[in-house]
Order: sequence, then C-alpha cells, then structure tokens
Amino acid sequence: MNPKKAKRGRIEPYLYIVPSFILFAVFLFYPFFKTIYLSLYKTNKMGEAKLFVGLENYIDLFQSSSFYNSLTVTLIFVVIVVTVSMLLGLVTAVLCNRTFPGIRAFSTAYALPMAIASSSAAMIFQIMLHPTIGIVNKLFGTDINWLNDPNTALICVAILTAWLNSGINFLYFSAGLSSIDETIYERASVDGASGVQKFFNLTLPGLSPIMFYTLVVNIIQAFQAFGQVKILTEGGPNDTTNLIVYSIYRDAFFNYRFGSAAAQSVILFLIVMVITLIMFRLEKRGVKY
Amino acid sequence: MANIELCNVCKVYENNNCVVKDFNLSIKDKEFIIFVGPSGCGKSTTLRMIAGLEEISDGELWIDGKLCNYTEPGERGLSMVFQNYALYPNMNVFDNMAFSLKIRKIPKKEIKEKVEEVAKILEIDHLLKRRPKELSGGQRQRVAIGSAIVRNPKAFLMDEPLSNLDAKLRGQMRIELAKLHKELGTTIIYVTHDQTEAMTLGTRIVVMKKGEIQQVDTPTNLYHNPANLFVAGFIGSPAMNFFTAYVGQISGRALIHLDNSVNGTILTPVKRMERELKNRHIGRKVIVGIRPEDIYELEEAKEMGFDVSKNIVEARVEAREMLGAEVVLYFEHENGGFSARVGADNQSQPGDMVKLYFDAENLHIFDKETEKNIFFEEGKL
Amino acid sequence: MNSTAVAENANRMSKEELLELKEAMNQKALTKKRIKTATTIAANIMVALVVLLPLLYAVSIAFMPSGELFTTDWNLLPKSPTLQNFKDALTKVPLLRFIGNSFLVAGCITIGQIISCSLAAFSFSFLEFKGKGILFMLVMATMMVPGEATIISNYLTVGQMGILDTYPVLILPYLTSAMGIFLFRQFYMSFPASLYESAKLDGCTNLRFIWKILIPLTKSAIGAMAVYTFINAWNMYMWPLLVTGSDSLRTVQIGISMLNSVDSQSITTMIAGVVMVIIPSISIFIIGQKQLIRGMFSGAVKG
Repeated sequence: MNPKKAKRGRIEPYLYIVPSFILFAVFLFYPFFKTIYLSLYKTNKMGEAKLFVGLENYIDLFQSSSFYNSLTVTLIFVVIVVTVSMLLGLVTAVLCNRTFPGIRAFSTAYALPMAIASSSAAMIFQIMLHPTIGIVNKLFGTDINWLNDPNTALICVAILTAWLNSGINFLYFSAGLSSIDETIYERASVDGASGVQKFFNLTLPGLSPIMFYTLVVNIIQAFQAFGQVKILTEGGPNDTTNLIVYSIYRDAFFNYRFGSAAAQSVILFLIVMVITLIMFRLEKRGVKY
Repeated sequence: MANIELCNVCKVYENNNCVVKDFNLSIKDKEFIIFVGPSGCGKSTTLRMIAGLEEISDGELWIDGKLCNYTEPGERGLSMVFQNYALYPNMNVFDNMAFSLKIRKIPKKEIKEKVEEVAKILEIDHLLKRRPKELSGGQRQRVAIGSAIVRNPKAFLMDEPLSNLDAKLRGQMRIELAKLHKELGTTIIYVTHDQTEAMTLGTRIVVMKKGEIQQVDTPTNLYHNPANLFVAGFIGSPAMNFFTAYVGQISGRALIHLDNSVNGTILTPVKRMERELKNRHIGRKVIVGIRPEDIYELEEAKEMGFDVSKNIVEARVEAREMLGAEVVLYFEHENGGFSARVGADNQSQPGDMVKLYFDAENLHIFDKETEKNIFFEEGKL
Repeated sequence: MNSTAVAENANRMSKEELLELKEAMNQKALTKKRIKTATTIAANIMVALVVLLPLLYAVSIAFMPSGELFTTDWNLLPKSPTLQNFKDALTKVPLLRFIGNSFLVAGCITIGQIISCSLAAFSFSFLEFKGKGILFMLVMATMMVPGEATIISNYLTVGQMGILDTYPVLILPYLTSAMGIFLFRQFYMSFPASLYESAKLDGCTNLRFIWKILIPLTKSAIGAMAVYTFINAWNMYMWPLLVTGSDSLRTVQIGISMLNSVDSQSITTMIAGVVMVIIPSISIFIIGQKQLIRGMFSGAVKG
C-alpha cells in the first residue's frame, strides 16, 4: 500500500460522517451555543446581541409571574398529555394483544394518529369543540366554549396532544407486549392465575423496560407542543395555554425579545435534560431484568 | 395422587390437519410416563391437551374419574415444566416458586416454609433472592421444577425439560429427576424426543409417530419386543439393523434369505419362530431386524459358546468407532450397511473382511406390508 | 390395555350419558369462546371509534354542505353529500401548490436523511478511526436537545445566510438526524464483521459495499426511516411557519391554516382542505406501516 493510499484510508472514515456533522454543526451545535450566548445579551429587533447583561434575562424571567405561569401550565400540560397518551397507548395495545378477526384494521386505526400533523388535528378539534356546532357539546349535551374557557382550554389542548402521541405509544407497547415470552402466560394458566392476575403480575412488569423508554420520549415530546397551541388558543385564554415553546415563540417573534426567548430556550433544554437524566438514573435503580 | 385417562383423544386443527389421532392411555398413580417420538409426532400437543393449554378436539380426558375436557388449566391440579423453563423474568426465585401458592391465597408463612423446604431439596436455597437472568441453565431448570413441586400437584407434566441443557448437565439432571420421582412418588408425564432419556427415566413409554401411538410398554419390553418396525428403529442406539428378505423353504425348514444375496446369506430362525414362519410366511417378503449388540465376531461367538455352524455373514468393515468400553463397526453389505457392537479388544480395521455371527435368538421379523412385528406378544415379560 | 381404559369409563356411565355430557360441555365452551371473541371485538370497536372520531368527523364534515353544519341538531352524516367543499378549498388557496411544495420538501428531506444517515452509520459501525467513540456520543447527545430550544438561533442564522423564504431553508436543517444514524447503526451492528471483511478481500470499495451490499440488506430499516421521516417532514409546522412568508413556498400545514382565517362560514371548506392534506400522510403510513414497525422495533426493543 503506498503512503498516499494509506493516508486516504485514514481520512476516509471521516468523509462519511462529514455531511451529517456539518449539518449538526450548523443547525444544532452552533445554535445551541448561540442560544446560550444570546441569553446573556439584550438584543435588537434583528436578533443581534447588543448589550451584555449577564444573567439579567434569567433573573427577569424568574421574577416574572408570566414565566412561572408558563412553567406551571407546561408542567400540568405534560402530566396530562403523558398520562392520557400512555394510558390510551397501553389500552389499545392490550386490546390488540390476542389475535381476533379484524385485528389488522384495528391496529392500523390505533397507530394512525401518529401520521397526523398537529396543525391539521388542531383544526379538526377546533370544529369539534365549537360551542354551537361542535360534536363535543352535542355529545355531552353541554354548552361550553371549550377553547375560550380558562378552565377547559388547557385540557382540550392536552387531550389533542395526547391523541396525537397515542399512535406511536400503541406501537411501542405492542412491540413490548410481543416481546414477552408467551410460555410464561401458559405457565401462569397452569399455575391457576386469572386474566387480571396475569396482567398485573406478568404483563405490566414485562412492559416496564419499554415503559421507561416510552415515558422519556413522551415527556420530551410533550414539552415541544406548539402547532396545536398556535392554532387552537394562541396561548389564551388568560395565558392558560401559554406553554413554554409558545411563550418562546411569542417573545421572539412578537415582542422581539430574543434574549429572553433564548433564556427560556436554555431553561427548556435544562428541564428536558434533567428529566431525561433522572429517568435513566431511576431505570438503572428500578426493576430491571 | 392421580389417575389420568385419555380416551380416543384427538387434536384436529382448523385446516383439518390431524396431529393426534385416537389417543388411548390410562396412567396410574405414581407412574413415570414418557411420550417419545420424532418431532411433529404430537407428543407435546398431547401433553398440552392434558394441561389444558390446547383444546381437545374429540375424545375424553379423565382426571381422577372426572371429565376434564373443558376444565380450566389452573383447576386441573397439575403443574407443568416447560422446555424454556418459562420463569417469570421480573420475579426472583422465591417469588417464582411462590407464585402459584400466592394465587391460591395460602398464608405467607406457609408459603415461605414450603418454598424453603423445596428449595433445600433441589439445592437452590442459596439462590432465592436472585432473578432468573442471573442463573445458569441448570439452576433455572431446578427453579422450574421447584415451582412445579411446591404446589403438590396431582401430576407433573414436563415438556422436554432437559433439551436446553448441555450433554453433561442433562445426564446429571436425568439422575436427579429419577431420584425426585422416587422421593415425591407423584405421577410424571414427560415428553422427550430423546430415546435415551425415555429409556432411562420411564416406568412406561409411549412411542408416537404422526399423531398415533405405536406402542405403550416398559423400557425393557420396548427394547426386546417392539411392536413394529418404527419402534424397533427408534429405540436403541446405535439403531437396529434392518434387512429386506424373503422367507423360503429348503428341505422342510423355513429359512430367511436376505435380499441380493447371490450365494446364500441365509439366516436360520430359531425353533419358536420357525413354526409361524412356515405356516404363514413362506414365499413372502419380510424385514429382518437385528440389534448391533446381537451381532458377534466369529471368534467371539465361538468363545461364548454359540452354535456357529449357521447364521454367518461375511462383510467388509467400512468404518470403526472406538467408544472406550466397546467398538462399533460399520459394515458394507450387498443388502445395505449395518453396524455391530463388538468387544473393545477387536482389532478389525476399515477394509478388512470379517466373519460375523448373527444371534438368531434375537432376530426381529416384521411383515413387509404392515411393518408389524410378526412375533409381537402383548404384555410379554 | 387401551381397551381396558375405554371399558373402565364405560362402566361409570352409559355411552349416551357420556355423549350428552360432552355435548353440553362442548356447547358451554363454545359459547364461552364466542362471548370472549365478541367482547374483544366490541371493546375494540368502541375504542377505535373514540380514537378515530376526529378523523371520521372531519371526513363527514368535508362532504357536508356548509348550510347543514350550522345547526344544533344532530348532524353526524351529511344528508346531501357534496364535493363542493373540496372544489372551494382548491380555489380559495393554492392548495395543490402547497401539496406540491410539501411533497418536494418532504421528499428531499427523506432522501437526504437516508443518504447522510446511512453513510455516517456505515462509518460508525464498520470503520475504525480516532475519536469514533466521542463523535458517536456527540451524535447521541443531540437527541437530547429539543429542536424548539434552538429554533430561534437557527432562524437568526438562516436570516444572516439570506436564505429565508426559499426551498433550501425548509430542507437543509433536516437533511440528517441522530435518530436515523442510530437506527441504521443498530441494523449494521447486527451484521457479522466478516460481511465487510470478505467484501474488502474481494476488492470491494467502501462506497460499492454500501451501495451493493448494505443498502439491499437494510431495505426494511430504510423503509421504516423513509415512512417516519416523510410523515414528520410532511407534518412540520413551526419551522416553515417561521422561515417562509410567500404563498408560493408554503407547505401544506401552514397553507391550510390560511383557510382557517378566511371566515367562519367556510368551516366545511377548511375541513375539506384538512382532509386532502391528511390523505397523503395517512396513505404513506398505511402502506408503510408494516415496514415501519419491522424496521423500528426489530433493533430497538431488543437493545
């Protein structure tokens, strides 16, 4: 092998990763650090850093009730979304666990929400929740202006998001269920366990590895909800649906406070990172096999 | 304590594929019954029907005089050991063994005592806190058996429980299973495809093929008195040698002419066989079987006092396998190859022509058409 | 002894009695089985109706004349179905143009991701080089950064680059993904190292190895990636909203929200538009569902 070729051999591995890494550098690493940088500055309308202010943006945030509101709302939102979408995913996966006529059509139906855009779904929900003609009020015989009532708006947005996320949860849980060894159910039958006992003693523990993974993915995804808020409520009424990503959007593109928006982005990142790390720590300590 | 009876039990799948046909068997208390046969013979399906994991398509299953066709598996009072052990991966060994008792709402203290007692018998009492993943194959096997024992079942069902173990461990567990059966005195129904396991463990063996019982008998009877060609070939290792032949008559004596023999590989049957052969089989095709251990080298046969004036076959050695205590010689022969078990001091090498003595006392003769053993005696010995 | 077993039972009860008993038990078991299946199906139908309600409702409204919608009575199904809403949706806004834009953008993103991710994954799984471990960790770490957290800086960057309101700005940031690299690497790792070594011995270049051996072998992973990426790109909302302004460049998700703002009488038109926009992503999902599941979970669940 001549030296030229040997050298080529040494660079070659990098050539394959270069396209991806250039993109990561430009659209992930650079903006990541730029966001941190911006969060320490006051900016002009063009988003250019003009005045170094240190942690002032952060201090301002933590002194503003609207930011606390946004955090609280986001947390409530995440809890509702994750609980409902995981429950829906679990129920649908369990329903399709044993084969029966028509199972394929049903499993497609349960996974389908993952193919639907948040914006499209939001528009459909808008009509469903319409105070006079919406099907929801007709079904429940109520007369609620769901999206304009501070008590219900957040729940509606959360249910919509949970519905969107339930599709992939169905797939995760189905995969988890099919990875459980069939013979342990047979042994349990011979041991005399009832269906309910099998579910709580075998199925749920058997799902626990995928459950952790799904939980993490769901939490991260729930924090990122945007389109549905933009279309359904625009953060209202009374900021009750001003989720953190929407708040970032509003600060940056309506109020042109890029520094503050950047600071909120950093906080969003930190929250997601801390939750992810805690989850993985818990998983290591928790049930594992 | 269980008497299990199967009457005309059938298993037919939706596509009319019949995997078990008219299975009739009466299992007495304390028996160690083995279902043996090649894969796909329906042995596991039968066991699973007894357990209640497969529906019985036709026929009746009686457990202690009660018709149990549709009884829930958990209410049949049986426990089962699966091929892959089927341990609950999320529970430790103790909980695995205690599971069936917990379901029955037995007091905690009693469960603890029972599990610990069984664990001690199986020598897994130091593993109770471990999870199945942290155990070796042999240990998992013991846990599976232990989980089955704690319940005091009417009978144990075991589906190829040793097939996932390596050869050495399998031998060990085989001995322990036999011991356990003696200690517990419970009925065991055991499925295997391994005839050695079947012969060493079983008090009675059910040989199956294509969903049908071929023979039900004690290991000794199966060996000496196989009902048909299939059983004869399946039981014993190395397998029985078979030759196609026809029964001729020379000067008033029935003689067996091995096929393709130009100048006389002729076997002379012993007196007890001759009569039957003469009466009904002269001029007919038969299959002659002889086990490798019933073939002797001429010198050896002489020393042992056999009458070597007849039943001599000459053949060329094709291969030689030294097994330590004995040598297995493989011969080529105009009528197909065959093998013989001879003494360890035998020096024949591949290529040698060797004169062999076939012990006519232990010939097995099968009808060519029906493949049935012409001299089969039910319940002999 | 077979005959004795039968005889013993015969002693206990007559043949007719036995037959009767068996028949009764058989019936009971059959009924039980049927009830079980029926319950499963009934439960599934109920849950599926709830899950699909928004979609079914949307389809129903899309065919409804707008006069029919505005009533407080029950109006689940259109009484006189019409295609007018679809025609209106297509004329009110350049919906076909939006759909074309989305196909272009999502298609480029999908192809780009498959190429860049499989190249990078190839390098990470078959080649040895300095810093491989750290670089791979770096890729994995990017999965933890929520896209929304960097979106402002990205917006400012592309603004400085002067590519706002162009096709490239919609496509470029999404031409690679950490998840894709991870998924392909999972797949490649399941191949024996000898696969690559023997190809090398045969004088196969790396690119040829990827093209001739890896890609054919990883069709299911590529299929899964393609379906997943396409659907996500098709459904993108925040980024196109920020970086495009002109109608000619809008993607479907932004485009249909233009229908939203027109006037309240045109709800049926808007929903018809939504239905048209959903159809491509749903079709691709249904066609590719099997691939998606096989590709995404064959490696993921075991690991």
